[in-house]
Amino acid sequence: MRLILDAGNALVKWYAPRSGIGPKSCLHALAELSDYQWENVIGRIGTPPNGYMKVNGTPYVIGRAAKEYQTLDKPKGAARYNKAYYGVISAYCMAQAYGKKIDAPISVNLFASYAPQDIQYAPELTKAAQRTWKIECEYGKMEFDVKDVVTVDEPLCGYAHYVFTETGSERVTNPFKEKTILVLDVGGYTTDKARVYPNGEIDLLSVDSRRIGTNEVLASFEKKLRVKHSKIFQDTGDLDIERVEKAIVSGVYRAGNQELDCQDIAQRSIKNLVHDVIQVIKSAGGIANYDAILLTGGGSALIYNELKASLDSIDFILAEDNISMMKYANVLGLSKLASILSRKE
Amino acid sequence: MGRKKGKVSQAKIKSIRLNPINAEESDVLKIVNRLRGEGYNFKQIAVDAILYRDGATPEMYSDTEDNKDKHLKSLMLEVLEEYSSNLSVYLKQAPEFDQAQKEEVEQKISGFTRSFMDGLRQRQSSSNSLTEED
Repeated sequence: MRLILDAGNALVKWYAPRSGIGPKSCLHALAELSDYQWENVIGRIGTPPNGYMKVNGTPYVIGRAAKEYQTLDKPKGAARYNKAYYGVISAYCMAQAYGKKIDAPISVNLFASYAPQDIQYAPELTKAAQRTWKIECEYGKMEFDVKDVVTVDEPLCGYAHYVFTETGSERVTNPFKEKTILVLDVGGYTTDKARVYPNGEIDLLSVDSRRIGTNEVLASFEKKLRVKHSKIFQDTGDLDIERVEKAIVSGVYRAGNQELDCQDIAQRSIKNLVHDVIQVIKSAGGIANYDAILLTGGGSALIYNELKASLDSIDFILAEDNISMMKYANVLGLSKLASILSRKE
Repeated sequence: MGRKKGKVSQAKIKSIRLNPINAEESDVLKIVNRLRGEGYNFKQIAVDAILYRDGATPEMYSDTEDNKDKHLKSLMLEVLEEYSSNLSVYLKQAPEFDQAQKEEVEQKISGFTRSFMDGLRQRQSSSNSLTEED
């Protein structure tokens, strides 16, 4: 099985192209459970619900359900690259990608993306995932043997999604063939960039990351929304991240059967991030040095309109035409790179 | 083949005799015998002819599966006969295509792709060299 994985700080995305599963995502949240907590959840049913699983004998909860068990701030970036965190998340994605009981171990080739700032930890990511995973989940018992792990920088995955076909061939009408492009991947925790010259030549020194992302935008938005509509949100716990993102893009927050206008709040919340991203563009040489800027990653979808309005003298292109699928641009691009990398030399 | 169509008789009723007295009736008997040889009885032949004279086509009133199959079969045979000779010529002229060629075609990558992948691999190897320096 070929598994494509983008374990972002806000959302974990995966795709199994040959199985036709995905791309799919879940909230990036993980908690280890005690045996007592596990037995409480399983109860008399005997089958774990979605998100609950045992990995190599240890019970975990992953995704939305994990939020109520998390007591500490979750690790970010390369701090996650160990078998007890990244490894478990990759095991969960393998189970979801396969989606049924297995009678014999399944061999997995894993293609995983990372932020450029974590390049020196890429071998740790490999070690975290490259082992045998025995899983007990809603599909029954499964065993995966991760043979190979290939790691790629996320902005390069976004670029690949735009210029290659699903089988890894260059698009017949490749719009970037003769252009110098700045790739920006705005994520939850970092904004990554890469410059690619005509003929696909990567400027290796330009591939790096800045610690700016949408996590702060979402937190700021939620805070302002609660202040403005304190009565409505008085008894509300954490807001669903995808609902908040939709509200920022659309300017309307749907709370039950009420539609709350939040256009002003959304604009104020993303203003700082837009300003910071423009600084990244300037530090990369400024718009005069590029033919276009390619945006990839889910965070880019949030700030796309504001970015276009702020810098109207350059074209901003989305790596994925369907803006609601922008969060999957990197896994889709990595899948195309996997096709190329898997060809016999 | 195809006999020259003469003026159709204006007679409303034309009787068929065992011993035809004119060429037209003789032709009709030949056609009837041929069709009976193909499996049609006299009633079917007569019904078809009368309906056809009224503007119906064989496909419209050929309601038995046998008739449909026979009609379809004859059409298919006609098409195959007409195009099979052309097809065999085409197949002889088509280039040989084997598995090795197929793999070569699939693995051909453009200069753009090669350039991008070279950069990507350099990036991957630099992650390994950063570890070796530790």
